[in-house]
Amino acid sequence: MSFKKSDYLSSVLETHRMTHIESLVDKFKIKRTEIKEKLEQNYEDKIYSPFNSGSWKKHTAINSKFDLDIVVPFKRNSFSTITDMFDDLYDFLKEEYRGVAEVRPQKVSVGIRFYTDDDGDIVEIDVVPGRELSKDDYPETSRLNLNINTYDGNYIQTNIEAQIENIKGKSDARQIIRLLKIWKQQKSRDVKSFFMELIVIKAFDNKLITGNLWNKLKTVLEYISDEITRENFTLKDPGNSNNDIADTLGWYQKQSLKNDFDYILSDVDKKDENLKKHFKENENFKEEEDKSGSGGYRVGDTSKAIIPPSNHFG
Amino acid sequence: MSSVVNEELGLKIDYDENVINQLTEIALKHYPNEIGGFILGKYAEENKKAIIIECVVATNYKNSPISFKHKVDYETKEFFVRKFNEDNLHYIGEWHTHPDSNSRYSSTDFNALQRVANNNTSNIENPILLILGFSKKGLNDYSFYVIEKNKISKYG
Ligand SMILES: [Zn+2]
Repeated sequence: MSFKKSDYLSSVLETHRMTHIESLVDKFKIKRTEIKEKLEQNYEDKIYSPFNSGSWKKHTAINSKFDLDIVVPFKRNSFSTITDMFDDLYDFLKEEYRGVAEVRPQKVSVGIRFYTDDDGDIVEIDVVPGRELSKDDYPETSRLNLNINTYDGNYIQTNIEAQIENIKGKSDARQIIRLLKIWKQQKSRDVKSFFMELIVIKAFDNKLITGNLWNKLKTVLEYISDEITRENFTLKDPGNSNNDIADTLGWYQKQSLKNDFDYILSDVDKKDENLKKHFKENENFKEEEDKSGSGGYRVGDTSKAIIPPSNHFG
Repeated sequence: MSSVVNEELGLKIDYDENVINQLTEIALKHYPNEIGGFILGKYAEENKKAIIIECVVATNYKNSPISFKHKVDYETKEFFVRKFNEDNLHYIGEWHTHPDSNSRYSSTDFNALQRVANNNTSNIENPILLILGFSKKGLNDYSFYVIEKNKISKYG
């Protein structure tokens, strides 16, 4: 029996589909609505209506990891500085969810992580505050300044709605984006999802990408490998053409992404079935599941030292 | 010796309460930042039991109030090899602190544990995770977790 690369990739996507965990998604939606209501009550006319962003809205979510973002557009005169805005939102959410969730300041958002519920599920939602550029500008342009927590207290200007618009209708690109998100999560690669989205869309804009799922993935991987380490390679933020998202990855990260993709391509070229090493199905949703367990702690070769990888905890 | 059990998986951990006291002291020293490192120990009873012998602080790390990153550099690798050759101690998992918080695991922690289990060279499929939630006043709580086939589960 021959191994069909495209069928296999479809199965990878299928086992990561969001509908497998509908009830969890419902829990997210309920919490998201609740958060939006709290924000509207607290900030009243200091804000425009909060809206949804994140991968769910962009239809690129995968079920082992998805982030539901809420964007809160603050009016220009709501706070005198972007930092004040961010801090006030953080303080408010922290107070509001004391004892129910862990609230943490993150790079551009405030993360709310609800404690594990009775089903063992954890709901995690990011709230992104943005401030309009000048008085009454937002309803016209949907431009926002976002806070970025760096040591120099920087902020960037972008248009989140334009970012969402950018990916709408591009269902071919979305499939590949989801595959690459699955890959990056399985391999614990430190590449921002937004970067992946933009580079895949750019590949589709610049290359003729046709054929079955594997052909499309292959062409995108080749494009990224060819382009990413070029000195003049840029990825324009659709929310603000002055932001170059390619800059968010350092030279080393770009080089290792290139190496990773070259490796996938050459490995699968050697043997079709090697594709399984690089993109794994979601075992939780495979048809049959073997529950071995209870065999004790599994360690491989105990005749030599175990060396763990470098790691990151939160 | 104290003992915790994970009923679902039929796995046990034995540890000395003093280890927790020592880690709490280390946690307070690094307040308000997180700190962490490695758990060394042995397996017993046909691998159903893990015995914690010592917890060490990572030597090469970066931390903040909400994150702890360690690097397994050459020196650290040598350390694991030495511990194994001289004391027959294995790396069995990871520990870290949550300042001003509790010992619930975060999604970052979950990913980290998966990284250990899925790492081809580390050769350990069920690493243990110990988290200590504490504040300036002292220890709030601590929990042991283990990962089994992409699922994290708690002891006790
Ligand atoms: Zn943690």
